[in-house]
Order: sequence, then structure tokens, then C-alpha cells
Amino acid sequence: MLSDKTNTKSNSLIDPGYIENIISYLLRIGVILSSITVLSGFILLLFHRSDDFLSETYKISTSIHFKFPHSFSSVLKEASQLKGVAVIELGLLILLALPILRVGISPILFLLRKEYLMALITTIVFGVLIGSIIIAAITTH
Amino acid sequence: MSNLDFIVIVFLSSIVAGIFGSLLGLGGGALIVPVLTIFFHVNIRLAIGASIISVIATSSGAAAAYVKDKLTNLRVGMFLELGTTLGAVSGAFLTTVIPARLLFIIFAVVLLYSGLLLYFKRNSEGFISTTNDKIARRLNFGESYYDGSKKSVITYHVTRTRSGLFFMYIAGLISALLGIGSGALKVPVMDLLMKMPLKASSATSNFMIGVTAAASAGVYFIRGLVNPIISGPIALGVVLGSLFGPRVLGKIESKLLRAIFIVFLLIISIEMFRTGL
Repeated sequence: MLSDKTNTKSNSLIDPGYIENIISYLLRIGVILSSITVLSGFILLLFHRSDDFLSETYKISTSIHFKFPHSFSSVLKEASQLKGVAVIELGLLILLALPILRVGISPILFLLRKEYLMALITTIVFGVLIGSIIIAAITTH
Repeated sequence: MSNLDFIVIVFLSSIVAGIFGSLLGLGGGALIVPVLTIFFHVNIRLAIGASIISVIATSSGAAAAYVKDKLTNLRVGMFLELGTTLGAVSGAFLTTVIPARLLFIIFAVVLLYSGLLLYFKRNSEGFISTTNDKIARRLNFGESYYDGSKKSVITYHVTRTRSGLFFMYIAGLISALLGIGSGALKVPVMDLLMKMPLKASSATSNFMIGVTAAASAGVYFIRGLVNPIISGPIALGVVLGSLFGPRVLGKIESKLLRAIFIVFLLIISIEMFRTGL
């Protein structure tokens, strides 16, 4: 992918194929970690509320009024208390972080290969991404 | 129906959504949102939040394999993301101005048009090996990958980058306004307009939709619209399903891929018409 480009400058510091393998590996780990966390959350949920939860009507927990923590701090706090719902959300947060991390690493990747224009482009995309999340966080509470 | 029924049905549907989504470069929302809203009567905003999770799950789940197989064109993807993310920001400001129903209809028409184009141009599998496009040359958009069905290395280049960027801006706008991944628009733009091979277009779209969805996901999460009981099974199912997409994509013939994609475009188009009318 980024590897054999014969017409780019030859002095890249690190073999790009190696970097891509790392990204590949990190993504895999992130997805596995997210899935294990979500699964654990469901197990904890069942453990604390046993079979009642499974047999009650789905309309309660899927209703728009169903309450669950939705700020980063409250999710972390409740997850550390091993509340099933919060642990599921923690797993989802890990999943949500992956594309952001992927975009965030790209500028560094391109800088290492001295591809300054691509580094700039990826930095702009990352900036817009983070900016929109921050603006949303500020304007919500 | 109980929580157990709900979780199992949603989980299984999500696996299917993950398989096809990761194969075609779509988010899987086209299958998941109808299941949630029509079958379970879940609030549309929660359904969209869940759909966004599905998009990120299929993107992240298949990413590792596509990067390794060199199918994802990171350069083209990140360049086009300039358009998508700026479109998404514009869309966030325009939500009050443009009526959503009109958008659904416009999008449905566009998808129909793409589907027809993909069908009628199916025999001109002409990808280019060099390009005159200045941006494509400057940023080295050309790539190579091993095609498992043709049993050979495909080397391609890219063209019409400016038009591609413009359409990605539109795709980003639609994404933000309708709460969807719009991979259905991204793949035809890359395949037909920019002359990327279909497999590379799908894999690159798979990467792009994850990035686009990540911004919306943050917003939806903070506003409490990502319900864990709904989104949890979806995340698990889609991730599982998306492990199979890349395996198939490597080996499948482009013609078959194109046919499946056209069918999905038609299905999504019909769904959009229904929502808009």
C-alpha cells in the first residue's frame, strides 16, 4: 500500500510496510478488546439482574426514555463500579475511538515518509473530526 | 417479545449486515435500520445511532484485513475524506434548512441512477494504469493489489479527482443530514468516475465510512442516542460478520460483486423512496 513507491524520496526512516502491519495489528486488537468489553457488559448485566432482564419485554430497554450514562466521565465511573450497561458502553466507546486513532496516526505515518502534502491533508481531516466532537460536547450540556 | 428475543434477532441480523456491508463498502445500516424501526418500532433516532455504530464496526472490523491485502487505498481515501468531513460539517448547519423527506427522495434518485450506471457500464471494466490527473500524480494515488479471482496483480491509477472530491462533499452532506454512511454513493463515485477497480473502491469506502461515522458517533453518543442494549448486539454481530467480508472480497469475481452491489443499491433506493414519500 504505502510500501513500494519507487518514485518517492528514498529516505523514509522506517519501512512503511512494517508500519502498516502495526496499524493492522492495533485495529485487530482494538476490535477484539471492544468486543470482549461489550460481551462482559452483557454478562455483568445478566449477573446483576439475572433472568428478569432476559424475559421482560424489550420495549423498556429500547425505549427512548431508557436511562443510561452518556458522558465519558459517567461511563467510566459506572463501568468501574461494574455496572453492566456502562461496561457495554465502554466497549462501544473503544470501538468509536478506533477510526479516530486511525486517522490520528496517519499524519505521523506520512511525515515519516516525508510526504508532507498527505500529512497536511490527514491533519486537516483529523482536525475536523476532533473539532466536531468537541463542539458537540460543548453545545450539549 | 422479550429482551432475549430482541438481542438474538438483532445480533443475527447484524452478522448478515456485517458480511454484506464489509464486502460492498457499505455500513450495514440499510439492513439494520428497517429491522429496528419496522419490526421492533424502535425510535428512529436510536435506530440511526445504532446504524452509526454498525458503520464503525464494519469499518474497523474489516480494516485490518483490507490494509494487509492492500485493497484499501489510504491516500485516495484520506484525500476524499477532505470532502466528506467538510460536507458533514456543512450538513450539521443545514439540518434546519433542508427538509429531510426531500433529501431521502433525492438520495433515492441518485442511488437509482448509480445502480443503472453500474449496470449499463458493467462490461467496461476499464481501469487505467497511468493518469493525467495532476492531483493523482502529485499524491501518488496509483496502487497495486493481488486479485484472488483473477489470480494476478492489478495495478491501477486514478482520475477525475476534483469531481470525486466534489461528490464526496455531497456524500458528506447527505451523511450528516440523513444520518447514514453513504457508502452506497462513495463506491460508484470511485468505481465509475475515478476509475478505481470495484474491489479497491469497496475496500476504500469501507475505510472512509468509518471516519465519517466517527464524527457523528461522538455527537450521538453524547446526546444519549447510542442505546447499549440496541447497539451492543449490533456491534458484536457486525464485527463478527465483517470478519468474513474481506475473505470473500479477495476471491469473488468483480462481476458478481458488481451484481450484488447493484441489488443492494436498488434495495436501499426503494427504502429511501418509502421513507421520503
